[in-house]
Amino acid sequence: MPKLKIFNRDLPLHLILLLFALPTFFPVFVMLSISGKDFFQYGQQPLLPTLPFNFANYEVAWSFMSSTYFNNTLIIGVGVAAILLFASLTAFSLARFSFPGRKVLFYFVLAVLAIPSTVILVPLFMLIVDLGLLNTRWAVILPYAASQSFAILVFYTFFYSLSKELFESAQIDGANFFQMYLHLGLPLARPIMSAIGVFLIWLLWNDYIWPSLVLSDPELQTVALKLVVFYLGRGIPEPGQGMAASVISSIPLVLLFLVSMRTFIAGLTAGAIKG
Amino acid sequence: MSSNSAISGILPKAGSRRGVNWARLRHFAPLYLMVLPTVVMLLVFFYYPAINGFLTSFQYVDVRGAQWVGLDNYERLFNDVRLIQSFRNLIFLAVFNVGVVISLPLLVAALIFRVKNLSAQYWWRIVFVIPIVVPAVASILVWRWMYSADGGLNILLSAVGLGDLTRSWLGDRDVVMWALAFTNFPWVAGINFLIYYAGLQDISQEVLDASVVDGATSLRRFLSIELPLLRPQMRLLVLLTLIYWMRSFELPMIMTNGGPGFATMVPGLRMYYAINRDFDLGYGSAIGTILFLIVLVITLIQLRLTRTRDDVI
Amino acid sequence: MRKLHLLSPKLFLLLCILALSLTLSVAGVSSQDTPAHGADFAGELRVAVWGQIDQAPDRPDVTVVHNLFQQWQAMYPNVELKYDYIGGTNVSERFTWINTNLLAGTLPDAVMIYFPGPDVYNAADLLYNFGDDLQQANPYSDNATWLEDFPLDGLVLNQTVSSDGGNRVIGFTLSGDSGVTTYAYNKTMFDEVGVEPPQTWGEFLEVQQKLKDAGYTPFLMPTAGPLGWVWNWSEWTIREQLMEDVIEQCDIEEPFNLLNDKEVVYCIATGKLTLEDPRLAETWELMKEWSQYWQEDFLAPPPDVDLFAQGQVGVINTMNLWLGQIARNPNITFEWGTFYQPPVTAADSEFGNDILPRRVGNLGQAGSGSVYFFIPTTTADRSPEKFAMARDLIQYVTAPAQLDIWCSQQPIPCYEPGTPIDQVYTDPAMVVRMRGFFEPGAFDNGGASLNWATFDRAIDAEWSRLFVEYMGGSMTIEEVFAEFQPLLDDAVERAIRAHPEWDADSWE
Repeated sequence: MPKLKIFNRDLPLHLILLLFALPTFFPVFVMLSISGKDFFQYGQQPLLPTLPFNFANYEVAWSFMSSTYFNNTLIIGVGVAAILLFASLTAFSLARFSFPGRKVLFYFVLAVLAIPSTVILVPLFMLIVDLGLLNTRWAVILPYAASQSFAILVFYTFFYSLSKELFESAQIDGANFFQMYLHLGLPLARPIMSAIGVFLIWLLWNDYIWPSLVLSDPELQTVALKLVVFYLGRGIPEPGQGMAASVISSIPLVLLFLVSMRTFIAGLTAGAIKG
Repeated sequence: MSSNSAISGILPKAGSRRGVNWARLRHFAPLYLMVLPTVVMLLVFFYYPAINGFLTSFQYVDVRGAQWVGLDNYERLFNDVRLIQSFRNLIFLAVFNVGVVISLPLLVAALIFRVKNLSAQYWWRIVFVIPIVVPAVASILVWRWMYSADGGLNILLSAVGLGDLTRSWLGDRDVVMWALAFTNFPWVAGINFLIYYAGLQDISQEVLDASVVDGATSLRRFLSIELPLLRPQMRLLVLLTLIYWMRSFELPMIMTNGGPGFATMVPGLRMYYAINRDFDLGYGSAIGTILFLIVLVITLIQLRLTRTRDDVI
Repeated sequence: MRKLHLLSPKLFLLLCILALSLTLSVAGVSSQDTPAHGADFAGELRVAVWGQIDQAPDRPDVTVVHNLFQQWQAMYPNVELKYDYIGGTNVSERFTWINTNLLAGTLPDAVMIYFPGPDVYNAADLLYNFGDDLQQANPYSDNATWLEDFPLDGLVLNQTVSSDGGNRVIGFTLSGDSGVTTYAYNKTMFDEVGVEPPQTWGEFLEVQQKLKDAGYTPFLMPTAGPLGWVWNWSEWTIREQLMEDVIEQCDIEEPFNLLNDKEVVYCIATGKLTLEDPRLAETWELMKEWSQYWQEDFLAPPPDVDLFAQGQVGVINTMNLWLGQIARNPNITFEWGTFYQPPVTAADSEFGNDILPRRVGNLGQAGSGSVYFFIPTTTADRSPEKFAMARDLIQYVTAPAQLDIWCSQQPIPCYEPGTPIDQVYTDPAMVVRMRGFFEPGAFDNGGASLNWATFDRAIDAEWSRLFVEYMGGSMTIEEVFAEFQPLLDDAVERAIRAHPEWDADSWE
């Protein structure tokens, strides 16, 4: 009986939430539906799913997109790992110790958030050229790895919220700064780290403009890059194939989210962790 | 240095404020080593190019080399009526999205938080996170289709008998900015609502329980307890939203290319064209510098607010 | 920004000497009649190519370039020929990519482009000058000089001479390209409505009115997206037809019949081309009148589906480079044909005349083309061997023998200028399909570049956007021109300041 009561009380909530969920999912539905249409099916019924589902669209799109998975995985894997390591080190130092120059460093890190990425596009491009990194994966990995400010901010908020006593006792035990990071900060930060990690993967998976400037070697090109070229760069539009490529470009993230959903949500709610 | 309770005061007693305290610096040397990689990377990949770009804004640059032209580029900028119009578009988008980010994701987070069944709560969260796996570029392309003449929106309107309202959403300058703003409607899916949700979970259960005992209505509880306590999250999201719209232009670029005419032009896109298409590096850098100053001011105001209230730094 | 002048004059001189000595040495080798000139070619050769030329079944014009590259590769097994796809999804973004990489010194060893734009001319000192090579023999040809390999006295090269007279961009010999001044039409629809391909602008509008009355979309005009430049091109052709005398007045130096950046600036600075010329406004008014027959949302990005192939649209722009997209499109089930852009006659406009719209892009004859190659000076800088390989590749591709291969793979066969269509096709259906590429006959008047973009892309982009504002009804022509005038003045001033060698003070 109580269960039913609770359910009844929740019912209006569920209905309102459903009202938000339907339009949220509509674009996903559109993508899947159109991706299965050939030219004539699209002409007759552009929106609702039609039968037979035309898998040929996926074959065409896959032959174009398949090589991008490895590149994205490598570039983003190395980039995100670097961000997590260096950002957590810096944030830990900033949040826990009041060393000379701390405030300056904090603003130094934060000010980067204000630099519009486009302003530095060309000078950064020239820099990559000077370093001899053009058309290598490093040309994308290094600037990604340097985009730490946001991660530092989140780590900072987290480390800052930890209790002071924890660190004082560690200090009494004779731990040095790095040991405190390694044995106290890092284990506590694990949930938030996975959350930031997933967030960064999601963020970088989409990047289009920068790779389009530095990766012209087709063997190195990334998902978003090839998707836009495939979708918009052709004389004859084929909505079915374009949408199929969009679906293909989403699949790795779908898998990632299915696997890490709990971590991700737990991580973002990690603010609740106290001492 | 503001005294801060959360920072463990691990240090030899501070010496005089003037002069260099070498003992102190030596004590903290390992810390400097820990932040060194970040500092180097930010210097090389952000500050160096940014300063380069700033210097370029005082130059006329073409393939023959660079010439110092003083404030010429800035003079051009303030006389560029189309750029000023593009700032209006930017303000519209930024204000609209700030309005969005402080309302709907918060509302949905609060609604989910009120669901009594915890596993139902979990599943609702998943529902509103899943759609973000569609890459931003792909999602803009889908919305472009929605707005096209034979696209989703017009089909839906005709289907519900509102055929009179169908129009060329991206070709009609009276509605195109609204079309851009309404992309990703209802703007719930994503990180924003999760951040609010995390904030809600942070509110101590006793406070909430007390409100229930007081007989506060759900709405009252929201207005008098949850909303004030979620202010830090709100401030963070407002800041991030403002910065995002100042610096990004993928949406107008992929959706409309700034068109029709100048209808959806934003400063970032104009800068992108100046730099990348016209090779007008000086002018593009001048626009970039102005954008940078705006973002800087917003950030500083935000920091000041944060500081006086929460004393985070 | 130091990198911008990465080529100091001294270094450039050194490069030129190096290139010259290389030219001589290679030319010396090539006088032997074996392919020994390339026997020792080895290593990687990277070529930037215009899109995915190895994956473009609907674009035979680029597929053939890929095939020729493959043939060259087969001759030199020690060479590894690799492609870089030029970035971006449309013409403008691709030029941006080339330009940025050119100025940064990061282009691959050789570059394949379409219709070289002003960006490439403005950076002429960063492109290798083939001038001396053209006077030597091409090792893959029997002609005395490489220059003779190009039909019609190297007409295709004339179109890309930079203002100092250098030949830095080499055109690939291909058959007549009509620009976008050929229109493809749905013949089944025309027959159903009872209309014929028009001969004059007025007839053209009448035909479209009838198609509209019958419930069809008469014309599909892309104004944004990958083909967003097409309608500017239409405006351009009408303008050049109406203003032929201005072109003649401003065409002060070789190559004649084509305006370069200097000539257009001269034209404006001396008041021969002014915004007050009523024919500029008339062009826009003609476009506006025409636009009532375009797809209803023509100001929006182009539709996501090929409306012409769906049979909803009566007429679209085409050119022989794209014809494969119609001719080889399995989704097209109706009969179709082509006709040439009809002239704006005296009956259609007070400024009308009987001049035919220029065949934009080139000259409508075999020997002119849209595919071009250049070698950045950085290639020779990197390695003389790579430079020699790159030039050899270009010489191979542009040798006369390759013209046959090109011709055999195109939807339109190659033909002598002026050949009547019925001597090329006997099938009446094919005559209908190809008529727009043959009639009116080949005439020597490629697009004249009476265009702001010829000297300043930025203000031309502004012009295009203002044009949209006018077409969308938010501004009048007077308002647009009033806003554009100061931009134009500034741009002319900038161009003159940047080119002291033009000696603009002496202009009358």
